[in-house]
Amino acid sequence: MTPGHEAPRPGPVTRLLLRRADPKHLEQLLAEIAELYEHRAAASGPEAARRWIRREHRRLAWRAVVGDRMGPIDPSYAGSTRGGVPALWQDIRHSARGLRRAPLFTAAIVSTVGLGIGGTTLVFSIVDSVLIAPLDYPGSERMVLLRTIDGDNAWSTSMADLHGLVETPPEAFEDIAAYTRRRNRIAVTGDTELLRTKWVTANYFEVLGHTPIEGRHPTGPEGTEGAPRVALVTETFRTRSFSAETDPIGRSILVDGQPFEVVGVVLDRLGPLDVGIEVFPVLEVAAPPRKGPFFFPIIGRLRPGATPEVARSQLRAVSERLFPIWQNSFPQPNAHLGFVDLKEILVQNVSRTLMVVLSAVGFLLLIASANAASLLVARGATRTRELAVRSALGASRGRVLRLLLAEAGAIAAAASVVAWAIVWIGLDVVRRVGVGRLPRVEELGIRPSTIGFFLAVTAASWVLFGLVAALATARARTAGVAGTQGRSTSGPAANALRRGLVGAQFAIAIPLLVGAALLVRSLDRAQSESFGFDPTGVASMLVTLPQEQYASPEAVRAFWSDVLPRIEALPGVAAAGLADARPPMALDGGNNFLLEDRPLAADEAPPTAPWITADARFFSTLGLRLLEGRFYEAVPQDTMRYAVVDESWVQRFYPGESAVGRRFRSGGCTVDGCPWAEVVGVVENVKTSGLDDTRALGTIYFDFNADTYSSMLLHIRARGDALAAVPGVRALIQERDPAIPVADVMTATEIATESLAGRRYTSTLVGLLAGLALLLTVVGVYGVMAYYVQHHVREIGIRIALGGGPTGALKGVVARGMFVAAAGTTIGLLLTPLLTRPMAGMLYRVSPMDFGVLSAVTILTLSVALAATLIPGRQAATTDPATTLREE
Amino acid sequence: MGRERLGEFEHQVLLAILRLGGEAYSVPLVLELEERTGREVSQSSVFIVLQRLEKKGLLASRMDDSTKHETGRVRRYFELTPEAMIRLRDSRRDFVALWDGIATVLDEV
Repeated sequence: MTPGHEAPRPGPVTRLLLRRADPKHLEQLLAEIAELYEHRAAASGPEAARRWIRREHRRLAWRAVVGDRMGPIDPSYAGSTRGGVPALWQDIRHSARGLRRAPLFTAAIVSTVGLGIGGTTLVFSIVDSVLIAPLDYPGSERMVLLRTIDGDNAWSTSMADLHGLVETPPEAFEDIAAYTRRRNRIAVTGDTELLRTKWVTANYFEVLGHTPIEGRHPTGPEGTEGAPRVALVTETFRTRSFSAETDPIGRSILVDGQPFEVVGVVLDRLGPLDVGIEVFPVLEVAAPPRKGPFFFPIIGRLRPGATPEVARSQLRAVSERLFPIWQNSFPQPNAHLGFVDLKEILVQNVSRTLMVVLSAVGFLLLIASANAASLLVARGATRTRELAVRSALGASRGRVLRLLLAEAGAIAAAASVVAWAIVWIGLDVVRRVGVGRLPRVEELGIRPSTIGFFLAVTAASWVLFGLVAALATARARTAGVAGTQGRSTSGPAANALRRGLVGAQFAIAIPLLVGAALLVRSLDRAQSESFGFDPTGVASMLVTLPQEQYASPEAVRAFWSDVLPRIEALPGVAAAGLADARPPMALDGGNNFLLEDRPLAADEAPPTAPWITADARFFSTLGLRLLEGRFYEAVPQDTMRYAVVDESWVQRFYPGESAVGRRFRSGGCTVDGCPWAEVVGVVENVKTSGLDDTRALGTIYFDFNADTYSSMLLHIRARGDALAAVPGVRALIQERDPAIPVADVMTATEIATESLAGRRYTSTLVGLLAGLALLLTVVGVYGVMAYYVQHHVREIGIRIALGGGPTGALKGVVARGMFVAAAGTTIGLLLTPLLTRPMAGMLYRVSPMDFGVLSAVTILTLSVALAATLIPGRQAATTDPATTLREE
Repeated sequence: MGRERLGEFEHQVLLAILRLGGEAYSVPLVLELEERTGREVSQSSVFIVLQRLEKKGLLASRMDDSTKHETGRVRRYFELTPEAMIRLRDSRRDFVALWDGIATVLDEV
């Protein structure tokens, strides 16, 4: 025997499985296999022999564990008397055969449980990936987002903060980086695209822990004033803009006409902060002229071991030194820098929604389990005879319990297959639908904790079903032997158990239904909210004038004063105007201000309000009526500035008085050099933060002719279909200058719809789950009553014969069913606040215990339950006493 | 014990032992079966069948350690019992009777 022909030993898994085999026989068998291996190696080569021996070992292990048609290895195994895995396997196979013989029952129970487990696991996997999983950055648990905090207000940070922190970095931070989001015209060779860009500090990708896949990080002086301008691009941008052979490093791209040298290519998947961004120009960090604007989010990474408290106190120290420098433009003595956990802020908008949906599917799982358990009890009752015979033939108590557990196991196993299908399909759908709506959607997946959750839920349902079935059958087991024809063999205990389970389903379904109805009601109320203007025919689009040609405000104004009248002259267009926001949504933020006649107390923060720059035509385009004063007109030549405010603003600051003539200074404007702004007119309210925003903060409008920006939203009111008018407008603008991009076309209605998208998804999803819950519950009560009628035919027949009549039989069945439904519903109503109170923040103009909703849900549930009990009730009423009694 | 029917594989194993001189241990038995049937035969299947045939009283076995000093292995030799010989003879007779006159029919298929 050559050493090369030494027979391989079984692998570790195989060895583990082989421990079940009789060791004496096993040794002999392994020796024979090894000898045969030598023959095979000699005859057909060691490779083929090794493949054969691995196969042979696997076959051996399989037989040792489960046995097969050849019979198990262990000769002492003689059927089911010996316990352990082989016997359990046999039991499961026996159960699987039994379940196959009752396909309807099996399909019902498997799909119900599969739906419950699958739905819960799906939502859990989303919660797990989005809310629980650490961000996909190294050391992400130490990453924070800096905020400016003043009392209850918290907002972003500015270049002034960044500059100050770069000069004297606080000890507790390993590193900080900042970015600002823009839109720029990007050109590589000829074609210009308008892209969302992210201007980042030179160390941005280092702080996130990403290394460029080509090229390098920006270094040294790059990112400081006067240094060569550089940018990084993503793989997608690189592939689209450069040929495969071209080395993009060192090439130039034009950002708004300015050349930037590409120094690095980064991955497409950069994490949740950078979804959809392809170009990252490096930001120049320079001393700014004033404290604001607050468009520079700063992310920081704490040093390992640095506590948040220490980091916060250090930021406070920085603020105390830094903020007084900007006192003139930022007169908020109590404001300071702080931070929030980066992950928390990324997912804050969805965490409540996800938790509500998770509890909704949790409720559904409970109902599904109760439903499945009650089906099993029914089946267990019919099987009492079989089990009684088995125990009479000597099967031990444990043996019968094992059989029931095996059946529950077969169900749980089949249900888990259905569940996985739901999880896979569901995740796929969420991945596609969730883009742009669900943060971290690209990270969705099955993490080990999700698998653990799934296994735990599956195991729990297995044990639950097994125990319920055991409970239901155990008592009637021996008694049932003498029973005739397996008819009335289900004991009263099993019946009570089933009714209890069905009642529980009602108790669980009611809070879920109420929650769903409250969400739908909220959506309905929000949808019927007035925009504050007539949205018919209103559309808006982003028009960005290239800074090279339109460098001065005069050039921008000249362009628009030439183009706007021509747009209004288009046959499809009734009016056109400019604004930097599009009601009822898409407002970037507000600004703070100081009222002349309301000086601030020492510890008081200045008020803030939504701030819109718009020309006078904007008001007529939206059809906003002037309630008092006048619109601003033309460019004022004096140092005075003019503003228009809305009713809410007046209500908030000058209730019952006139606001016209009041003066304020806008935040970010130095106290001494800044002109006063005077309120010249009051217009109707318009929603600016979504249709469901009730805050009524009051909007301030500033004249576009005083604050001229090169990028504005052009609003049109079309005669007829808004979108049909857009191509004409676009053609007119681009005829004037083909380099001007017209992007982001949306109608006002679309914006309103978009502003309620989150609310719509939540209510659709929860509504769907609640509908399923109701369906399962109703199927449950139907099942119990149908079963009751089927197994009490004789009793019903006798009652009818004794003069109860068909109506009496009908009433009896319906009353029984409705008692269960009503009792469950009552308990459910009592439990409802547990679910709906935490939901209060998601509701819109409807109370968590809205009487209308509660009564509607109660009536709906009970009527559906009534319908479900009527079917078996009628069946009972048509029972012919003569026939049933003769059959005895 | 009653005259339980011989399974096809049991039948093959008995015949193979007969071909090997009426007594064999499992390794040459597997090789013989493979050579004659042209199919891969699983050692563990053979092992199980040998045990079962022994239980049925169709085989008798003895341990042989005469080669232990060379290979370190103890072999278990199986031998057909008279009962097995009778069963094989009977089954051959039945089969021959049934096959009589029809072998050529199959050749034409």
